[in-house]
Amino acid sequence: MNKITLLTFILLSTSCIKEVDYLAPPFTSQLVLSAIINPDSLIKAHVGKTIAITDTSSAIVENASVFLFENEVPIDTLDYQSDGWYVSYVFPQVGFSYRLETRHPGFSSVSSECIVPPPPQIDSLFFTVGETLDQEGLPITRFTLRLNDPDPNINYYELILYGGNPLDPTIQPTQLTRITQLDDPTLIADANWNYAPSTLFFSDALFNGMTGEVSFNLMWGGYPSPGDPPYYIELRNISSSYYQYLKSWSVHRFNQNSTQNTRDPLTLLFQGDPVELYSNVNNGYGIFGAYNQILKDATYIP
Amino acid sequence: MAMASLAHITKYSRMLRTFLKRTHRIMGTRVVILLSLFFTGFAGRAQQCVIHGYVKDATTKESIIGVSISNASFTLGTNTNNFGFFTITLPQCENDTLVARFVGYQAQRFKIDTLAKGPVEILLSVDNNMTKTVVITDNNDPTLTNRMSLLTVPVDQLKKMPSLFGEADVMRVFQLMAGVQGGKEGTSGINVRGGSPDQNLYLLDDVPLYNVNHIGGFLSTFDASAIKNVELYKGAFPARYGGRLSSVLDIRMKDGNMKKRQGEYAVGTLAMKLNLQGPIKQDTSSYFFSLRRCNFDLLTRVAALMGSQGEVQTGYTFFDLYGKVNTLLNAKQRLYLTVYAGRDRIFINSNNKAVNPSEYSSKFLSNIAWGNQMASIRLNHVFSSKMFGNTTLAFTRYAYNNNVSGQQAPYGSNDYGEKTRIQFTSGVTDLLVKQDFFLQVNERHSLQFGVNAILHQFNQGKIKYTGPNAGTSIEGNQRENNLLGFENVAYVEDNIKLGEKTGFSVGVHLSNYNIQRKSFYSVQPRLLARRKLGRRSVVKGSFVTMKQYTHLLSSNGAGLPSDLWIPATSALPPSNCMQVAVGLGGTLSEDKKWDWSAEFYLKKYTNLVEYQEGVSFFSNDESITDKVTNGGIGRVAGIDLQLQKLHGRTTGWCSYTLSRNDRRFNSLNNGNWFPFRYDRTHVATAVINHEINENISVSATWIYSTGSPVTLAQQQYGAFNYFNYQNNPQADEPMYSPFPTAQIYNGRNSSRMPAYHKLDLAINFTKQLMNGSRTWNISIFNAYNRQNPFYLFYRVDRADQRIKLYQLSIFPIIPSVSYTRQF
Repeated sequence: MNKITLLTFILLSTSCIKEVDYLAPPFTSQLVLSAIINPDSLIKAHVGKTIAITDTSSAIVENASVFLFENEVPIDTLDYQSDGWYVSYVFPQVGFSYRLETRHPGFSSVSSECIVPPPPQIDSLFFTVGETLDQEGLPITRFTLRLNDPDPNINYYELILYGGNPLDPTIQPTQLTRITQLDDPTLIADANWNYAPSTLFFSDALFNGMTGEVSFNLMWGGYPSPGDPPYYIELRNISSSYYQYLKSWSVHRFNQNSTQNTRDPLTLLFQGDPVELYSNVNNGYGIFGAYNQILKDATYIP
Repeated sequence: MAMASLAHITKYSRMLRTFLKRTHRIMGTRVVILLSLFFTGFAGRAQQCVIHGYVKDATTKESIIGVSISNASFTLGTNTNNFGFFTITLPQCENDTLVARFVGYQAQRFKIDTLAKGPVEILLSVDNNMTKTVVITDNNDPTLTNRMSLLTVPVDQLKKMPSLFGEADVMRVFQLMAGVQGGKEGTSGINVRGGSPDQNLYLLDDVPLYNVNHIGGFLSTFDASAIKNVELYKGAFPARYGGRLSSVLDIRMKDGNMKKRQGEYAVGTLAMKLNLQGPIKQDTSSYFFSLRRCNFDLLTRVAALMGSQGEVQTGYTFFDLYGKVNTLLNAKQRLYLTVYAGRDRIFINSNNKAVNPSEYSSKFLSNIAWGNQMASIRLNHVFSSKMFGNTTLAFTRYAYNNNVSGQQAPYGSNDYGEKTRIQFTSGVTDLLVKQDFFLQVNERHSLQFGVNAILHQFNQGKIKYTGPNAGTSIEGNQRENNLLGFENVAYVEDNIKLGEKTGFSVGVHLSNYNIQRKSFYSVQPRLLARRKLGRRSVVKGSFVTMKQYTHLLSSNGAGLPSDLWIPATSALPPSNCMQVAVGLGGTLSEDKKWDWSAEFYLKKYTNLVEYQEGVSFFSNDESITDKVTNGGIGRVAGIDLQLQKLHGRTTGWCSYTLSRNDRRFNSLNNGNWFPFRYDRTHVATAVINHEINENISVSATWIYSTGSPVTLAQQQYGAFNYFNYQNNPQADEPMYSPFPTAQIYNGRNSSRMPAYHKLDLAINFTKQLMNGSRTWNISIFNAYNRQNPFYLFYRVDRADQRIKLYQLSIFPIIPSVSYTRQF
């Protein structure tokens, strides 16, 4: 806040904002392919295209051909559903490699592939309240997740915390980003936490091949009152490219030179240089990733 | 004695002939001739005449730096050093004349045989008939000096040039010279030949300063009223300088009037100042004191109090305080004590009273302060007519402090309880000792050599929490705070004059840096060659290497106070630069009214440090090494052209620089070269000063620069956010959209901002009074109201919902007025 005060104080008194006549250089539009698959859902892919930065027209591609390969064997051609979505009637299987190939007469073909990981293994999940206090003296709710990581390869995880069972249609789960803080600097760096990501993602760098422990806090402490739903976490084992994409997106979004994420142009001064978003789509943009998940309720330890 | 010398020369010449026979086939005739002349220079010890002493202003007895001292034919000469001292060796004392010359002063001539033995004191009087000029190249005849890539500004003249908020700034004047650019719009920082702001060495009376910016870089800490001399080296750095890659700004404070008390006060739009000087003991010791203070907070406090019914005060202010005492201890020794302290402060102070029982009364204080402190003791010693020494003990510190505290009290109570406070500090502190010598070996060789030792302490960021429940806790990686580094330096440089036309400067700067059990060593050659062409032109060439043991993490060079100095370590090794320059220069006519120069340079950088992609400077939680990437390389090529009119009622200069400035890092921009943020292909400037009469002068400056590189989005697409898709696949708001916008940039810094240009005007009305003078200065900054962009961004136009590109500009046309009274 003080840094914003510093620059606001200096700049607002005489600053001026005006439109700039800008002629973007010519470009060739490319296809954008997006799909995140898991064994519990049918394979769906979204096809879009790149457009000029000042273009406000639709970026959806409706008449593309989307082919699905399983272990390099063609198994399906996705049907167009609506709003750029193409759907298959295949449930992906653990350990299998899937490739999507998209063709359209107006664009160069694009393709991408990923492997569906196995489900994660949770050893235990519990939380305490009030063992430590925050800077204002309020009790912290601290969660500790122990997970087994038997695979010697590098694995990646994504975690979402809910105040309630996300499968229960009668309640509205509370999302992670609004209520959680981290205090492990390694986890903070790994999760790009300073860029306020939507979910908590991390690698097994500190516990590869063994049982690891991840801790996180709620900013506002206090156990839910009787009648409130208990805490649940959804832990996902995610593919490497999906992890790269999540990490890249948080940085890319934070450093965009536009005010779509904030109405105050002065805050752009506190950003780093803009960076390209990660993509694993050959000849195009987008992400093709996979995950496998497990849902677990948290045990309260008084 | 003469016969003995002749025999010595004869024997030496015989040895030389033998040496020539054996070597000329291998080394080539020209090289051998060069060596012959070199050794003849050392060997020739016929009757010599050595004169040494000081040059001072006749009115104030203030020493004058850079005065040309030469014989009548101007074939042999030297310059006064930073303490006004000179020593010159001439072939004979009889039948020759010593000439002392300096811009703005009447030349003095002395029959040498009439000068007293021992140190002489030459007093130069101001030349009132000569229109004062703003000279921006070496004060002396450039065809005779072994100096190159050097800029200087007579400080009393820069006060008459246009300025921002009426505050003269020496750095802004340098921004108008070839090879020197400003940073972002309005900032006073300098980027020299493609370097970044942290690559400039700022020396105040031989002591380095780390952060020289006020108000986020819009004004420097150098108060023109306190400065006697300032020189900027863009290249060809003498061996005595080191520690930075791109430039050396050597600033000398005034010593104080040795003859009578005088002072000056000034009030302007931005600041008010006072300086006082005078003798402590006539002709023996003097003092100088200067204080400058910003006025902004005087207005903002009142405005905030009125707007908040007395509950809030807010404001910004800064001050610069200079102090100096110098005293002659005896005929050979003079002692100087110098201090400088400067501080910027932004504050918000609120005191809100609860108006109903459901509210709390609160007190809140936010105080951000930053600044430099410096203190030094220097002792000059004249060892002999040929040898001068200076010893310096000094302390310098830059500190940044961000302090936030709060208290609460229930409605109707005055018991606010204990404060909750968060304090962040960072900075760097140096203790240093230097010993420098000057030795005039003979009429052809003068040596400068010395040693330095510096202890650095780095605080890279510490957070301290105190409060009623939190107790006291200190955060920040303790390994990265209070880092100690120890730097040793030794140097030697030989200035060689071979005849009237040819000269060399040969030197080496040796340094050793120790930190965290790691040692870095460096041998930095400093070479310069000069050859006079005809009567008025000269060609020069130089080769230098530099090494820098500190890095500055800056928020895009905006010069914010929270810019962080970090030491080189094994994880972040020192950066290096090699520069080669070739230049031509001279005067257009015998009367030396017009001065011109053209210099071509090439620079190569290695081990550069840059932020990791997307890292925000303001992410305090990351460790330093996680924020940055190193191992970068850089290349700069350019040509500086300059034409200057030195005399007459109308003086000034114009300059043009064509350059290219790129960087490459393995982890940035996919390992491809990209334009550095300070790359400006074309930079042109024009400065005109005109004396309408004795009391009125006008000045105008104009600058044009290619727009700075920027990473600008070219295309966009919908980037899949799976979490948002799961929660609400139909959400429209950007924050919850399943397909928020991703941007495509086509390379780092691949776009350009609009060109930068502006015109500044000033008029000065001076009147001589009974006991001094007064001057009204009226300035107009950005006279035709050019809206130069500070940065660019995209935004949705609410009227038509289209995405458009906008620029933020800071400074429109700004008139200002200041009043200065000298007494």
